[in-house]
Amino acid sequence: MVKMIPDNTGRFAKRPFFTEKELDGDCERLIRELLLKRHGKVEYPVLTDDLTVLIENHDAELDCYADLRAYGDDVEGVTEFFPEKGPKVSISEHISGDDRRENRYRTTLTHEFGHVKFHGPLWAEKFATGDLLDRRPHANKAVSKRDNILNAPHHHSINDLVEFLAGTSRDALVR
Amino acid sequence: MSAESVTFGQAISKARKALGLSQKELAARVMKEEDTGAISPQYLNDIEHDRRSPSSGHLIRQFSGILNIPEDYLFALAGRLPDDLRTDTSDPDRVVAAFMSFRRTLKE
Repeated sequence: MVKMIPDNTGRFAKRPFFTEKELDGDCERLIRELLLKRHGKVEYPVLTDDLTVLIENHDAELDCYADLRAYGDDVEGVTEFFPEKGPKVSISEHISGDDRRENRYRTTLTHEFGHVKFHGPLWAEKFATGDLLDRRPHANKAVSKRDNILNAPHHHSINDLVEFLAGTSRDALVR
Repeated sequence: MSAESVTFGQAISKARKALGLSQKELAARVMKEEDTGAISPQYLNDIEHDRRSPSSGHLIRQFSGILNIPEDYLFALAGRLPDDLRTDTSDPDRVVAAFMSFRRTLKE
């Protein structure tokens, strides 16, 4: 049973509280299941291609070559949540289309997967309870800049668990 | 567009995921007409998100064969006439009659 605590960011009424060990365990299980299904064996490091399938397997639409300039020059990933369908993950074409930025592409994919996996249920509950009054342009989006991907806090006492969860699941998946 | 309508890109994306293929894996299997190798994952991604349309009937037939989607259905979603019908469009009256029949069947 996931422990729920008040969300200080105001985005949700409550948020789940995970320890790093719990997140590691969840991610380990997810990646094992995926690799066994796709390749019949578990072998690290996880292929970048597998990370794209991992996102799509969680009812998310993935746009790997998106133009995200409208969000700012340093934005590399965006995850949007909707009431009637699964989330949409967009990755900047500047990192996915450049082989020299393969590692950045991988960390961004896993960062956005963290949003899909661990925050999707929060958004679903928010939409289900009719909490749709927040009309700010990016209210339903997690906009990920390079700095908040690499420096996502690794301690559970932070205020914004959104980035914490995404950052932690990223590490568990790509090690 | 009605709530139930499907775009070419959505049909390709749905069938690809049902087969458990990544975009990269599907792109590697779709060969270009000019025998210059496979299409790029970027191009497939653009097609799936309806930013680009398949550039030839050859590509549509490739998608049809690999994803097991009826060829005529994909031609309809792409808004193109199948190549074999293009040669039969010299008589305007017959083309109009064919479209009337097509429209009637879809509306039934």
